[in-house]
Amino acid sequence: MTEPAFLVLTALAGEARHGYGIVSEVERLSDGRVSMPVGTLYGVLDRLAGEGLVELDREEVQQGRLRRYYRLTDPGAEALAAEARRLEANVRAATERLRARRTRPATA
Amino acid sequence: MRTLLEERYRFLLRMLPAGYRARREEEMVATYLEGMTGTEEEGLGRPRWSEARGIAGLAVRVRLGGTGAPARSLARGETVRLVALLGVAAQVAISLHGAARALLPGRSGSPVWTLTWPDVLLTLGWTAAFILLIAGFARPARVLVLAVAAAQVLASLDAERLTALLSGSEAVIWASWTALMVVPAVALATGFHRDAPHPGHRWLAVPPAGAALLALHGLLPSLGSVYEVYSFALLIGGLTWLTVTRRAAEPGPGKRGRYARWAAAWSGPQVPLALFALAVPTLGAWLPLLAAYWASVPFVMPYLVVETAGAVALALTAPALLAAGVRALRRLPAPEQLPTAATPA
Repeated sequence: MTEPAFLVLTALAGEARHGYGIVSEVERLSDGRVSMPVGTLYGVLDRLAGEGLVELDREEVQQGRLRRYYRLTDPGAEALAAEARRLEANVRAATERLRARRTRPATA
Repeated sequence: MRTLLEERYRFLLRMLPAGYRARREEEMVATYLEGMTGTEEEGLGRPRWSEARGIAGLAVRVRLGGTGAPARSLARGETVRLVALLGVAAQVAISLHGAARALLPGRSGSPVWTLTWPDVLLTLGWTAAFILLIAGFARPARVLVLAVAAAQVLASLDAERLTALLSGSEAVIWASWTALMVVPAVALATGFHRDAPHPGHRWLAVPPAGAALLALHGLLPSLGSVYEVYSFALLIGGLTWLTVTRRAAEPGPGKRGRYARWAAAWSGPQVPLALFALAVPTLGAWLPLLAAYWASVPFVMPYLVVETAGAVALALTAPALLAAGVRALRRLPAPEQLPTAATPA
């Protein structure tokens, strides 16, 4: 799973969001590191929808502008959980190795 | 009233296919404008380069679909990726064969080919791009393959070639030769985007097999042109698809197991369309060269007759491949009929 796909799924894990809602939540989740252009966002959404991981929740018109809200599906939640477990295991392994490195006596 | 910024953003969205734009344009414009502050100065500005690049990338991915794409878009993507794999693998095979001829002793006891430094760099470039792609590093492979193809085309343009091209005598042959390198390189750069599936490690066996075929061809009486191998390989591939693979995928008794899976994987429109795309530049270079051979030889040589028959057979097979590929593509559901997001709850 690519990082943009992971962040989009994470952004939708709490609630259904529309395009700009996803973009701003992804930026917040990544501490401003990932700023997703609109074209990239819809490419990611198309792929996730094609794989059945997200789906359309509802449509609204606000100030004459169309908003489509997307939500996470059950397979999407499972895929996100599996990816989170994989990343968590990687982080744990790296943290343990770094801790061992810090506690190891320095060699000449 | 639309601002200049909105008009410019909508202009960028014209890169997307009409059907996709009809369904997504208003939503994308709304998403884009919601991220703007709405000042008058901003309304007169232009979308950022990153936004334009994002839309261009989306336009490629929508047309040349990868994982999760609608069937017709995926088939178009698979066609372009097959052109890339076959075309670049052929360039690697030609390069490896040339390197082997320069390094290994021939019948006379000394190498039959002399490698220059540009040859060495181009051989390494094609090979590295192919291996990077198969190893899963598509992005550097995309950049490298375009650089290598451009370098090879530029390296071919010496004063003698330019004079011949300007007089028009070699224009078709040179354009076709160029297309055999540039088309697969561009296909690799566009087809292997972020959503493209991995081609599979089995492709690593193709360039050595191609080099072995070229070595075998060198042992037979022939005109010594690489187009002979290209045209016969494409002819055999095309006839196999038209007569065996396409029918093997049709349901029937006894069609199970690995054979049925193989036939199902290769029976789609991508095979005939990719073979057609490579057959056109091959014939564009090979038919004028064959005509020149016929005009220059003092008597009819048997292998010239065989090779001409092969080229004519390929010229007759190519339209059949195109027709079968287009028919198979049209049978797939059009992207517009399939929502890219799921149906409303």
